[in-house]
Amino acid sequence: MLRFNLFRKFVSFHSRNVAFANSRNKSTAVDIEKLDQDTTSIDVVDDELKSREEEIQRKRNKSRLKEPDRNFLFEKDPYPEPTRWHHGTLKYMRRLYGRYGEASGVDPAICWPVKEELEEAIEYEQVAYPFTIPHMIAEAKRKRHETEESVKLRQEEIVKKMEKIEQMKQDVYNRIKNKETEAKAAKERKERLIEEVRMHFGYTVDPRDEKFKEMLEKKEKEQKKAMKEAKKKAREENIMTKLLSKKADTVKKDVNKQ
Amino acid sequence: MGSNTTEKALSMLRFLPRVCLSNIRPHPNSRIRDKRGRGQHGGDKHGCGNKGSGQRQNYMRLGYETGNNPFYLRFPHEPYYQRHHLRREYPPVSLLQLLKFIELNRIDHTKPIDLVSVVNTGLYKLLPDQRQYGIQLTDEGADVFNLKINIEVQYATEVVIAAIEKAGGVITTAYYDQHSLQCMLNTKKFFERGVPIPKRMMPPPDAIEYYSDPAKRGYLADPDKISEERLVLAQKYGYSLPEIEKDPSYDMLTERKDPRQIFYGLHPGWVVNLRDKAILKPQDEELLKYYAN
Repeated sequence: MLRFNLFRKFVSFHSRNVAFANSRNKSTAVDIEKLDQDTTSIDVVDDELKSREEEIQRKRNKSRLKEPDRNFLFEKDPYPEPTRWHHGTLKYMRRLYGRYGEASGVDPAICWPVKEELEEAIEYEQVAYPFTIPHMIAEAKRKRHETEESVKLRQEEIVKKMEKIEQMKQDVYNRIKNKETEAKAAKERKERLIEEVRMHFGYTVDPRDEKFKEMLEKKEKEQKKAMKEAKKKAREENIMTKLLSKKADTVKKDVNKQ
Repeated sequence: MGSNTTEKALSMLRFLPRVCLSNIRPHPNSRIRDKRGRGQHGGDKHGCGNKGSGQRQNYMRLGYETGNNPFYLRFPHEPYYQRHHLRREYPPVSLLQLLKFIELNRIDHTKPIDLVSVVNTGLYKLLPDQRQYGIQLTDEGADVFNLKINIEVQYATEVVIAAIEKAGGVITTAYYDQHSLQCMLNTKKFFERGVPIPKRMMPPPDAIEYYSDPAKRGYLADPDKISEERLVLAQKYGYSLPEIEKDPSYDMLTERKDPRQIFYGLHPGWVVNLRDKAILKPQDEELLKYYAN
């Protein structure tokens, strides 16, 4: 797995076409070259001085810190040579450059995305942000306008309906009043009937009595008949008046035509 | 082909890590056994403790309170909290606080103020992962605010806008997406990541109306309309608008970010190296096109 990961990372770097892989290990190569050069032109005093200085520095270092920790303390690259698997990752290399700058030996070209990554980013943007700003502004305006319009329409509807409300209220009151008067009339009629029956017998009779009940039924029938007749008469009269008025109208029209 | 492969293999080999404790195989026979021994073969409690549902591995279902009316069922449906976890939050900074920051030299008001400078005071906390999208400037201290500043916030009310403009300042409301906010919270950390400064993305559809509204001083609004609205607001609140054109700090007051820009003076696509004190700009045409769009 580890190897596979490394290989993948390595391949991805290769596609970046960046010479950093060499530059990371350049130190050894450069040293050899330098040594070659040094052998050609020997500067013994300088070399001796240098090695002495190094020796002194080595002896001075009594911290017993590990190399990476010491490097970290002096704000140097803690691992100049890759040691762990993640030292080859793109993220680590970028961070190395970000922290230690040119001294890290990383080519800053790796900071930017390569072509494929760029294409992917562009595609992502096209999916995540499909609309342009003016389009979105127009859309938001349209939506707002729509909601306002719907609210306005609804309010107008309500105002229209509210105009009718007084009439509707009056209707309801009238209906209640009619019902009450009718109920009152019916009650009065019944009472009158009972009174009539009592008058017929001439003395106070118990209303639960059989005789009383029979008489009451009879009287009721009579009353109903009378009411029916009265209704019939009223209707006939009504029709007659209507007919008469129609006749008068037709006559008038005829007169007008002539 | 052959030479190429060998070259590749060699460079790969050169790149492989050195052998160390962390990448060598475990000792032979050092495996962890996958069976739970019983009795004398490592019996006892096996890390499950003594007694109870822990030992018996019969845990109660989540939210169950052993017979009580559970908390998650105790309260009826509360529809006014619907989708509150998805809404944008703007943690407040009051005008009085801002005044204090400036007077105590935590913010330099001779430069444009934005989220970065407020966060750098160390007294303002922003958690973009909890849907906090930046500063909301509130009106506490609007009566005493008297500094000429160029400030960019994420949300401001009318009173706040009036207070700042009355003092001769300029205010803009601007949207930053979460990635941009993450860059702004700790700029040093961000620059040390060694990645190019990203583009600021456009606001979502439900915020576009606010950020394109000249009355809200949105960063996507037409500048002419904004100056019109400045006059309207001055008339509404009854103050005379100080003339910015004749101000000695005209350049500072009129400095504004590009809608794609995150930091003042730095453009998307640039890499900032703090160690070398260098700014690296890409040269590739495609990259330039991507970051400019």
